[in-house]
Amino acid sequence: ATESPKHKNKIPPNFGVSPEVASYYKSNSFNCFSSGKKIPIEQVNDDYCDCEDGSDEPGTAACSNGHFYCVNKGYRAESINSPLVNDGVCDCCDGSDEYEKKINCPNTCVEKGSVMRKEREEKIERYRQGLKKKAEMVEEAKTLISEKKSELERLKKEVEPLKEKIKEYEVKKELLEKQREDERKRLEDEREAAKKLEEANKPEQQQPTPTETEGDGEDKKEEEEEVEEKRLEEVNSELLESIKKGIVILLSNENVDEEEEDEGKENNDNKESEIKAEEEEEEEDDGPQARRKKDRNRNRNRNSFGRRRKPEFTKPPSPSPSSSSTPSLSSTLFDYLPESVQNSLKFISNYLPKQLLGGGEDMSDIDGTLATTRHDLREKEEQIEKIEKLFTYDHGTDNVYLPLYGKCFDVKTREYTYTVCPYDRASQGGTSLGKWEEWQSNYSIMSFQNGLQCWGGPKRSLTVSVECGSDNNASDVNEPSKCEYTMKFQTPAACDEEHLKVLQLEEGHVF
Amino acid sequence: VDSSKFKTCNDLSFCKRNRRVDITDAAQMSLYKHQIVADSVQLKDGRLVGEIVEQDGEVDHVLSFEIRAIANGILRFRVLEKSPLANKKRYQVQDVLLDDINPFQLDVYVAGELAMSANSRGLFHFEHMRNKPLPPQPIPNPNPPEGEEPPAPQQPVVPEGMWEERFQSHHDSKPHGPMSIGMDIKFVGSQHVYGIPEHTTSLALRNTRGEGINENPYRLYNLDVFEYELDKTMALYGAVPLMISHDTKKTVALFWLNAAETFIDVSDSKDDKNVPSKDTHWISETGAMDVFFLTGPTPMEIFKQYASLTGTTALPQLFSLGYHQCRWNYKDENDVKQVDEGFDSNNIPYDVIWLDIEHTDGKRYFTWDKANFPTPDAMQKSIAIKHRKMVTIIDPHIKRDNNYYIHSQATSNNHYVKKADGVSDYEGWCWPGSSSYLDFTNPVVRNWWAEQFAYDKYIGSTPTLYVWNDMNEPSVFDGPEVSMHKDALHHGSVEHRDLHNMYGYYYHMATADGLVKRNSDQNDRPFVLSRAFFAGSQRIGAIWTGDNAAQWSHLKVANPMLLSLGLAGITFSGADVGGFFGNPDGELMARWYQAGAFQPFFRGHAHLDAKRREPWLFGEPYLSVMRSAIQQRYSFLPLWYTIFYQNTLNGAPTMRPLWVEFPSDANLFAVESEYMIGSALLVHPVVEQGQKQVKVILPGDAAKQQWFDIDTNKMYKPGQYDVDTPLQKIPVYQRGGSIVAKKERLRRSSYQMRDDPYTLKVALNTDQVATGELFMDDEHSFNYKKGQYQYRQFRYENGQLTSKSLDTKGTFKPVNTVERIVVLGINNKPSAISYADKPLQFEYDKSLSSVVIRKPDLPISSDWTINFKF
Repeated sequence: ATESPKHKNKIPPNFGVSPEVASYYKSNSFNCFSSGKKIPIEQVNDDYCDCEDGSDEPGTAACSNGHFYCVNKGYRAESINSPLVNDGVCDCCDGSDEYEKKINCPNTCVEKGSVMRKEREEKIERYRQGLKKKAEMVEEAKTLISEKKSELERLKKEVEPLKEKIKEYEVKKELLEKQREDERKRLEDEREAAKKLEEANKPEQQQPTPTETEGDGEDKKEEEEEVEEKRLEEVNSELLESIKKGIVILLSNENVDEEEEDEGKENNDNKESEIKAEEEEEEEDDGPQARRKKDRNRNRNRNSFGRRRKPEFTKPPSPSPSSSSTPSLSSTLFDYLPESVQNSLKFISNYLPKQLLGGGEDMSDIDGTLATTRHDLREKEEQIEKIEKLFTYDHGTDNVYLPLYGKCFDVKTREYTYTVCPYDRASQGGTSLGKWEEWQSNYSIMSFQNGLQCWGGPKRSLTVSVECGSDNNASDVNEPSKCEYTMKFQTPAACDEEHLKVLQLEEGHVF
Repeated sequence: VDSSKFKTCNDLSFCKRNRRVDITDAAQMSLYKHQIVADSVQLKDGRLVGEIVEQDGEVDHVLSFEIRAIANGILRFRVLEKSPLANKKRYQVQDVLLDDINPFQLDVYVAGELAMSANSRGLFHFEHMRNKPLPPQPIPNPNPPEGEEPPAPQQPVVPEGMWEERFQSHHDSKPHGPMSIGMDIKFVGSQHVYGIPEHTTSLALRNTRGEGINENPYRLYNLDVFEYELDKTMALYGAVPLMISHDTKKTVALFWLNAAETFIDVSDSKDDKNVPSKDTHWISETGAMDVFFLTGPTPMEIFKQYASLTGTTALPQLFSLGYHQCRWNYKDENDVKQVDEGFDSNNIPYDVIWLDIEHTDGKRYFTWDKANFPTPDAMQKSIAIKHRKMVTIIDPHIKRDNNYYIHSQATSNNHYVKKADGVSDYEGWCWPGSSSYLDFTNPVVRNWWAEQFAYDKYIGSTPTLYVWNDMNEPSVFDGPEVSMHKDALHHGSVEHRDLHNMYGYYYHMATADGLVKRNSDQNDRPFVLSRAFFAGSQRIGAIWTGDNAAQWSHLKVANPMLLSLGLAGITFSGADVGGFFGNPDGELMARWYQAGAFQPFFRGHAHLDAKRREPWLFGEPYLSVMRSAIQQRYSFLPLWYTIFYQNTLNGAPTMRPLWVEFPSDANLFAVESEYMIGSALLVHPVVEQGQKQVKVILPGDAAKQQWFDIDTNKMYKPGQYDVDTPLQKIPVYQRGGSIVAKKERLRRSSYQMRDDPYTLKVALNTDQVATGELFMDDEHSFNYKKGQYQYRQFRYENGQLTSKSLDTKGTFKPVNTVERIVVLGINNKPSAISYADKPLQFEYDKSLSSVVIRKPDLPISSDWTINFKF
């Protein structure tokens, strides 16, 4: 009742074997590659798996871990997993994996080969051009480094006088404070002495009020004076702080937020362009730390200007020509201070112009100078920090990746424009996809992390895979997991001679 | 989960009214409100019929009951009003029983011993139909203390919640008033009851009442529970009102055929002779009392008896037993292509890639997002070249958009569920926004729905596209408990409350029907995965345990949840591998793949917000572990397929608690850390983080039983073992006495394996005997129902291994051969092994007491005998 099993045609032992190991399949016995187990040659390619490593069945699917070699004449040879042999799916372009003809596999190697060669030619061309540009980038990197180095030197030099100036003014301030204190004490002592004298001269019984009361009164008065003085000082310094900020902003033309830009658009066109230039420059200089600082500055600015936009301050700002910015600023600010503060300020309003215009060197003058100088110093130190930070990164052989610093690249899709700025940041429209993190995997990946928090997801991030190209160019944005973006980036910097040689070698090789 | 969104017994007047009885002293005779009218009892047409009377003050409410013995040791007990009110009717569940077979303390004896006792505690409760009393004239207090409001003069007592109820902002108009039913069932001699899925609790159901225990009763009310919690009696997505009781002497079961909201209390009791019992109390909001007592007395007979009522699992297409790769969402055609290629380049087999709701045009099911899926047919075809399939999701909520053909047809054909007014279409909020819900309880709607799967209607579908039904509890985001209002009206003016638990079942049914009807030859077995289910859903397709989480605890609970489902007939089930919510690490993924590979339905799935988690993204060693888990699954596909076929004969679960296979060992009754696949494999998944060792119980009689580690072929005697579990190891053992047919050539999907030769693994018991079966057919069509199958038995005994047909009606002749026979646990070294006097090449390994026969090349579908000489 038993049917005889369908016997497959005997397959030669070396069928499906790659040329490198073909010699092992020629004798009367075969040794499994890994275990060394010896089997007769008849058991090779006999559709039964004898070797644990699958080496005895290159031409059948009997071993799950074997490898079948397709010659693929006209294309390129390939090793496929041997379970793909005779599985009814064409895997080798020459159809050799489907010799049981469960499916008819037409030979597509010639077509595939010509497509491959065309692609390879394009790739070689891309590499050639890329390598030319790469040389330019290396030069660019050299210039950039020397520029940055001299900028660093310059900045470092500029820092010293500022530090000295601060020191000088701190000393001045201390002196003045001491003077004031001495003066105050002197006045107090005099008053005290005068009082005592007066008391000593008066007859006791004629005292209209008990001593304690008088003493109380005296204390109270003193306290009141102190409070008043303190309050004035506070008000003074608050006002000064706002003014300083205003001055600082105007003097440094620091970026302003969008609302502000709109507001002052007509009058401030010049300023705006300056601001933008500054902003760009600043971003070029940014290391992550500097950026965070700048963000803080921005926030601060936003806060001080933001106050002006609150509804209770109904009066519109009256922008004045930039030539007289300082005095007008003070009056502008004054207009927008709360009424209570304005009233308090009336006490000291007479000193304001003198201080701001740098009349005499009283306390406020000193404080003002200190503030601006400190600000200058901070700015420069931040720039120094940025440059030094930049020098801590590895930019590849000959710093070839360095010229990507300060540049941004856009990818437009149906919905968004994506922007990637190496060493800096990445965004999707106005949404941050992350700040520069690092190069990874030997410059094949740029990583941007800690972008805007995703609703119900992680903080946005972008992984850019870098490959050789004739130009710097970003493309192929994707979001495989929520808020985890990927992008491709071609750059001449990633092209290398060795790879071109390999490609050319392949090109010259006839399959 | 936000549990305040979901009701407990205390939020439901019917449950409180029923359960309150329970906490009163059961000894009070006054509790027994219902009495049998002695004169009424008679034997009529083989049925015992009679009347039960409830004395309610001056009025008598008369119920008629019927007890009928059905074939296969099943008793059916039904109670209805004798004279129902003209304007009301009780919903009687339809379309669940295979044949609509028709059948006071009720005691059920099995082999002369009391096994089940109904109403022994007097909890029988049957809220007779009544007309709504006129509202009391003055409404004294809008928020009276519950049920304690003193009646207005001349007004009858109307406990709160009888005629309308509120839950949070939702109002239930309850136009028919109270109609609840309740009864206690005692499982005499039992300390373990099982089943009544779906809950996140233990396999052996823990008590909800008793000394020091006063928990919410198990609830059966299909709900979409966001981020469900573990070890809760809360309701989940599906419901099967079947409870199985098992003790060393017998297995019995109770099937409470009711599709309304149901609660079940479980507690322990002892009689005066100290005989333990499980007391259970069943409460349903509406519907008929229709109870089936399944008398077993063995586990296998219980499965058969239950299968005779609600059917067996539809024989899955072989591909659906392979590995499924799903994610919310594969974004576009290129994404699908890359994932598909990823499996090939990483040498991992898989059969199906799935698309979640984002593939549609604005959650209009049967449509495609044109930007991301411009050429769906070409996409399916490119996958089909490798004989892989695609599944798209189709949900029951329909976007209310007049330009959407499904909606406009459903509206004009009057196919939607109605609001309580019976006129306007029910509306609710779901994925597409404002949606309506097709009334699948109406056969006309089901037919219309099935037609929508025609290739010329579901544009972009091809014959290799299958379907996934989600959200079919139904999920209504702004409805009470995220579901439909109970007073919504279905076909025939049936209230939603009457059949809530069947909505998803009918939907699942209509979809599967559509997949059959779309082919002109109607000869492709459907595959539809559903989240909601009811008794009988096994006849339609697979179900999964819904939105679990990427946590070790959720991996662990998958075992008891799937075992409970299997006991209740739902044997084709799985839990999302990796966990739906959250981000599993490599270790959790690896362990979950190992477990999932040995569970009936094997699908990786992930939430939209989760990171990508295709196996190769985790790197080594995890990738290799996941790969070999999936490969192992594929090598055992012939076993799975055979067990599923056997289920069509015997209704037995594919994944079985140990007690099913070892019913007399009381130590195993609560074991859920390991389980059997069929009767041949014992699996102990590793479900704890960093677990270096697990305690494996290998059951059985030490004199006869032996077990074989499937990785090493090493033999173990019954007992407890501390087994090392490095990441690569999941402890799985083949039972001595079994023969398992495997396919050990690992192809890229199940289809490519169809002609591959078999390896027979013969694991001997100490008597040197083993048997095993193998089912084969074309793996996809209904031809097996017409005899196109081959069902074989292999048997090793007295030094002979024989292959014979178990069913000569099967005439299918596959081309496969046997390429290898491994015999484990053989006592002596054979001197020769031969077939038809021709010697066969073999190797003997003394240390493992094993023999490997090389290339016998015998046809799998022929009878043959191999002789072992010693």
